Amino acid sequence: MKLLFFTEQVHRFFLFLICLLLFATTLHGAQFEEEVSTEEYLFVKGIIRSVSIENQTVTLKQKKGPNISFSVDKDTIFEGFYKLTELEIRQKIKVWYQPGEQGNRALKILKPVELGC
Amino acid sequence: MKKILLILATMLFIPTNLAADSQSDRYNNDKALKGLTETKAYFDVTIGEPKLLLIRLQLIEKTYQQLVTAEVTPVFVVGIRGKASIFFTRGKDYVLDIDLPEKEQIAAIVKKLNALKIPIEQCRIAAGFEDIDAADFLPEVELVANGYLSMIGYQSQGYGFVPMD
Repeated sequence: MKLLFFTEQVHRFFLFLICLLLFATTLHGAQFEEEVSTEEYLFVKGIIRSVSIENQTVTLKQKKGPNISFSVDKDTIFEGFYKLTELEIRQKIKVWYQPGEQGNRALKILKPVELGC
Repeated sequence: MKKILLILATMLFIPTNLAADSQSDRYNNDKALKGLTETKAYFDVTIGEPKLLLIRLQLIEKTYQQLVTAEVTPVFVVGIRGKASIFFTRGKDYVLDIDLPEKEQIAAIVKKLNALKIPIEQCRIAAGFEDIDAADFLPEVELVANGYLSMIGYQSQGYGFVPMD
């Protein structure tokens, strides 16, 4: 009886952990919505115009707008790649950023999968 | 002195030119075109590097002209999809500033192909993936629902498939 109760507790604990993990993942994903600019960040997408590893900056060309440059730091989230060196000119990217006095700071850069269609 | 230099330069130029002409005359595609009065080809253009894309399109035009010279009627269709799609839009949008010269040249070739009655079909699905508004394509470009369907259909009609990637 005691063993059964213990096993049930363990099951409930793991179930709780899984739910927590799913909830946290959803929250994190919801933190940066696509195609949406909010009070906390601006969203933009386009193709890469240039990448400066030395200056840790990325410049993007919007499809119908001007170029925008962003600085990258250790807190910038990379999705779809791991290092700035993986980014190349003309690749598509999506950027969530905060404008600032010293320029735009990239919060997250997403490189979508190349569909090749 | 100037006259002598001019004469010398002319003498050097003519043999070089003749050599080039004789080289191009040496090669032909007679075996491939033997007995043909018409050829049909579907060009699948997907390349996104603008300089290479321009060369591919120039080759399509050159191939057309060479077939005409060989007295074989070319029936071509050019299908655009993938990263090539952005270069078939109007104006200065969608591409980098450094790629604008090639984009302009591509638009000029599109006009030439259109004048030769060569249809240029843009895959609507690819346009969506590249986030291109349908209204932004060059007027000579016709949107089709699915480039793969065109690929399959034209080949089923006997068109040769020529990948341009």
